[in-house]
Amino acid sequence: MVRDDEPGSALTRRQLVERAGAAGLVLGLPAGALTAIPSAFGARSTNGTLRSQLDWGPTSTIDPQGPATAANDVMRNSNVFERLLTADRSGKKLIGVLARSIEPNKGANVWTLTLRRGIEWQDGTPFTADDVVYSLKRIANNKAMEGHANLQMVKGTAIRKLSKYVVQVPLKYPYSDFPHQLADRMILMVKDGTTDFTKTLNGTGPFKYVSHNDREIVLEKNDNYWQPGLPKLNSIIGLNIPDPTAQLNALKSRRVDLVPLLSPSNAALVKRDSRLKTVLSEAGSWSPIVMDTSKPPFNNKDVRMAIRLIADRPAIRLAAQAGLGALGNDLFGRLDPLYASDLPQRKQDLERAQFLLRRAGALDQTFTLETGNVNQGAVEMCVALSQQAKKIGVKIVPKVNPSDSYWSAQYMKAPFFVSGFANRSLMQQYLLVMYPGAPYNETQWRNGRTNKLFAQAMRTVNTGKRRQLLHDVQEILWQEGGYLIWGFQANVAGALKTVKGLVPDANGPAMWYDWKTLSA
Amino acid sequence: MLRYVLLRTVGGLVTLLLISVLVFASTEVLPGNAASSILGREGTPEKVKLLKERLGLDRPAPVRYADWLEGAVRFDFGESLVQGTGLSGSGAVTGTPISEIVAPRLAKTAVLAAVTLAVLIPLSLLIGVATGLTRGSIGDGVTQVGLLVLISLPEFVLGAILVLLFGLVWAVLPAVSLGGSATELVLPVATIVGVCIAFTSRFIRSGVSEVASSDHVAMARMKGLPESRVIRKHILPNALGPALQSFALVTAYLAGGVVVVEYLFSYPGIGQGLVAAISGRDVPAIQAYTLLIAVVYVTANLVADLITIALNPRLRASYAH
Repeated sequence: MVRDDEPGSALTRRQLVERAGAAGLVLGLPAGALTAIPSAFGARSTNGTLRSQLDWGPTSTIDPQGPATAANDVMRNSNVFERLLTADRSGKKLIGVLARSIEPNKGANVWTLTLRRGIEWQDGTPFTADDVVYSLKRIANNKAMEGHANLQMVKGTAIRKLSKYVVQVPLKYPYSDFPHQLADRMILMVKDGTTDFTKTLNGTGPFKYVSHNDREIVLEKNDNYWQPGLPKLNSIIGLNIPDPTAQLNALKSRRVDLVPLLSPSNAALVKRDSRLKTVLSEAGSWSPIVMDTSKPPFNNKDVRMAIRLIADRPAIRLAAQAGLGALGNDLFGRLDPLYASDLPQRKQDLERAQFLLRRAGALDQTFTLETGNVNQGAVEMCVALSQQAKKIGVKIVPKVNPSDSYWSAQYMKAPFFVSGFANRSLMQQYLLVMYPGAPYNETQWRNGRTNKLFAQAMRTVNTGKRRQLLHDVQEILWQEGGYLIWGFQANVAGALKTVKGLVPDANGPAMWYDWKTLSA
Repeated sequence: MLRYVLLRTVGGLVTLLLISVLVFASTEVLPGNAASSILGREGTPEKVKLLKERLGLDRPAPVRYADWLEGAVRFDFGESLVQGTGLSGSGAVTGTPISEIVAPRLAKTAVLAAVTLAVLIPLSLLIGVATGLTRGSIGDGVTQVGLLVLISLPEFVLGAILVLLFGLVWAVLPAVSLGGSATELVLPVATIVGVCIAFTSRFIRSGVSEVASSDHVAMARMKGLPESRVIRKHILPNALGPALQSFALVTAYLAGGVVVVEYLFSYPGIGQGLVAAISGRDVPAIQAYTLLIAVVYVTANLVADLITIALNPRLRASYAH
């Protein structure tokens, strides 16, 4: 059967059209149309090649430790390079990849990594402690790239090799959650001394890099991969298809085998197609509504609680993400083992909300909620909240701003606005949004009690004790915090039924683009 | 004649120069601080300072404009701010050269535009001449209604209908045009032709019918010339002027207007590139795309003007001195 991309046949068709075009004839159209028929009806033999739609996004990086946000970069990085540690598919447990173990000292400020032996780089040289020292130093000392891999607590100059397979990492301050930091998807290991990533990429991962441009990316199997029997695919081809309708068309017409992240409306359509399947992953990323605890009226904790009680969370989830994903309890870090899942799920309580607002003298106030199309469902969730507030006569007015200027004009400037975060551990997230010096202290959280408890947790290696400390922190946040966290996102991947091994993964879309166990 | 060609060319160049000033000013000078608008949420003061240095925003705007224009003439638009970023050995941030991003996309769009014109021109001549000669007949009426339906559909609606029918229901053509192979060109080309055909063929139709009812054509027919010769020698050359104008307008439209069609089919041309550059706030890329589209626009209009004059003896004479 003729395949659409077979060089020989494509050339013939192209020649046909070129000749037709050159002669100024109208033949181009029927000529192309006729020759396309056999390929379209042919069952595509995959030869172990997975073709996936990928998002190229507005930004890209060639540097494996650079700010990879677009799916094509994440896919390339996670299949060509590897981390020291990673979270398992549930997102709740850390497992070793290139590292066999990680141990803290008593003060949680010096960590010792023991590496796996017998692993080779794709160029055939052995993977050793030198590579880890180089990679970690490169990340810790990088200050120039925005949004790059982050090891802010590591004393960059003091990382050292203890033996061929043991590395010591001293920190600037005690940090008991350091393994989670190392498991970040951007903390990838590169070979000692590598400075140029433009020509070749040399990783330890299951796939080798073949080519990449702003339309297509090609990876092929690494026959020398250290995990036996993997990868199962011979090659991966990623294709740039930004438009959701085109993504659906590509999947339905079998031009691609996989769309890693379907839009909610596409997810419903794919589910209805008997040749296709969907895989739902409950994830840890979240889009909160933020109240600035330093500005009126939200400096009054009654007002904050009232807004949280107005929210009908299942209804907001329905409006913002088609009813998918876990409900939120105004706390972040849902996948963290230390997440306070025992605190009762907050529910809508309009009577109590009305009482609290009246007590605060804010019942007649108009709350302007700054939003925009900055995250999936960011506008819908605000509209839903506003509708719910109307039931007790409270005026929450969503203001939809242009998404390109939202982050510089409204975000963290107005007292009431929307935000969004990827999944992080509890402590990583607290450092990012609450601890003194946090770069995104959106709620202007300056609570001495929680910060003190948190500082103690940072020094505490013992998990049981740390759990108690962080539970106390979360309880205060649950009572008084400035976040309305109504839910967590779910990712839906769509694929042809011929794609095997696609399982739910809480870390990110389509097994967080780690595709060594997929087959097609 | 030569003087007019020179004048018109110089005029085109001046227009381009003015456009380049506008493009540069609107993307770099007007929004106050390009660096903080590029960084958005990541825009901590430290990062804004680093990016400002990388962009050279500390130098005065006229100097930066001169540098940029000098590079643009050599097809050197600098480095992308967001595409292919990496850390060089010296610790500086680098990006993919804009020319490497733009050039392949420009080629893809050129192919799409060329194939479209190769289909559109003969087809609209055929329809235009046929309906122009039979104006008022039933065939003409039916064709006009069909064309009006086509012209009133926006390209994303027409494209979506074509994809649905040919790409999904009958599945005879690729529903997306990722690589731009011959079969993948069919639906995007058909969409653009569908959107433009009413415009061009109606232009030709009115030109043809006007010329056909003129005295010199009546004379040629009375002389007993065969109808085919009347059409070729007497009607077409005179009706071609307005037709060329319409094709020039279509070419200019193609330079910018294919954005929607390219996006719809995920066709990897400059339209898709421009959308990506805007959403990534990639200022050098936006400047490059906008300027290139302007060049095509101005050139297409210039060429059409010149050809119109060359084809029309009366105009040729009036510009001769």
